[in-house]
Amino acid sequence: MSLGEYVVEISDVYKEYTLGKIIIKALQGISFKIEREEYVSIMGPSGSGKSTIFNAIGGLDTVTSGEIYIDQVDIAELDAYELAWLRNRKIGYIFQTFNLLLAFTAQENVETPMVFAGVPREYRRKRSREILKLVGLQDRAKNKPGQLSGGQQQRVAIARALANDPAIILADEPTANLDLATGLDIIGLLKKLNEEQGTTIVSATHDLKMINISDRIIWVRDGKVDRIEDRADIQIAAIS
Amino acid sequence: MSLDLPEPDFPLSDVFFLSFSNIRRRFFRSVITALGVILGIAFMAALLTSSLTLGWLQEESGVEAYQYWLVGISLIVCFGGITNSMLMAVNERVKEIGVYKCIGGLDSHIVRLFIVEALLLGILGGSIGGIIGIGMGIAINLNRFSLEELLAVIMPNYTSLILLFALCLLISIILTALATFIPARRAASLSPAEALRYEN
Repeated sequence: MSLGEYVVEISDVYKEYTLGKIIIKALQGISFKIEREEYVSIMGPSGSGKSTIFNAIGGLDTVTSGEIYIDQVDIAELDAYELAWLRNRKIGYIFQTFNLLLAFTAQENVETPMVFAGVPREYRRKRSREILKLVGLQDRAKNKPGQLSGGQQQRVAIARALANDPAIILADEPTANLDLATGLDIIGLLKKLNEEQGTTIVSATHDLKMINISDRIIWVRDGKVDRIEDRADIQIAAIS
Repeated sequence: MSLDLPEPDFPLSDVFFLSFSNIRRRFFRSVITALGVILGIAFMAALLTSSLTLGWLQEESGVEAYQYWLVGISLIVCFGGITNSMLMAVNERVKEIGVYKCIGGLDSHIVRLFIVEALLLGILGGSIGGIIGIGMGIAINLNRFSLEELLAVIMPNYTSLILLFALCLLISIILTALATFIPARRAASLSPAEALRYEN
């Protein structure tokens, strides 16, 4: 499979679901492309469809119609096994509520995606220590999530997302459960990964702190793309 | 489109490693779940042992009708206790199943994890419950017969008690596995987004 220009391509995606007797049109024809090594924020008010886009790109939920390509692969065509493979190797997820496995230590949490990928135990150990060091948690490897602060838990989640060296990291409101300073820390870490490791990052957020570091911002409103802005444009707008 | 992927690889040693870690680290919850199994099995084993012992002691009259009823009821209690414990144990972990799916767990991986956990609990609960139950079943009759009398009839028939213990183990394993398999498979077949949203 050749490396394409776009890591994510979604075109004309609709998502409808029923809540009781009401049909909710969560996405109404969303289209955009995300380039390799880009840092993109999807912004919009609550209920605008950010999380639905997150779930759609991540292959976590089905959509009603439209096409979603991740690394040139149409995820609608994949069977359960291929989809699991994609989630395992190609995508790393970061959530608002961290979603760590509470029974496991930080290091074991980072190892789990590698267990599903069939990575040998020795290499798993080594790799998980490396990534924990990268996110600045080498001293906390043996701690369980309950013994870590919110910011530290999110770092473990980021380390877990990196475990299988994914093509893209998807983050759903990664800073919403953190205070201002910790949120800035996490954003800084994401930006560092983006710049130093070349990781593509797509973040659904309504945290305005993200604007400064995003290459592009996709503004979503009522299930539609409102406008897409480059960082350069925003800075010019701010100056004038 | 086919991605032409290699065969899934999830060695049994890793399954056991993860399952065992889960039990050990959720020790208190695991003890409660195991207690549910132990109580059900012990109740059944006690009544069956008592019936058997009485049968051996009073050869001509044998077991009375009401004792069959009791054994039937004990089986139902055992079924109910184990199924309830295992259903609860899976149900409170649907979110965790969602996390496993997000990081690349296949449905079959997740079901395997839960089944192995259930089997470990089933073997533990079945053996402890069986031993306690058989002991209780013998002890119940101590108020009517002396220990010597009881031992005199039990010793020649010890194979029956071993069979009874094996039966306890078998019922415990089958019930825990079944009561885990059904909800775990249902939870594993949810989309990851649905499983993560799940509130209990």
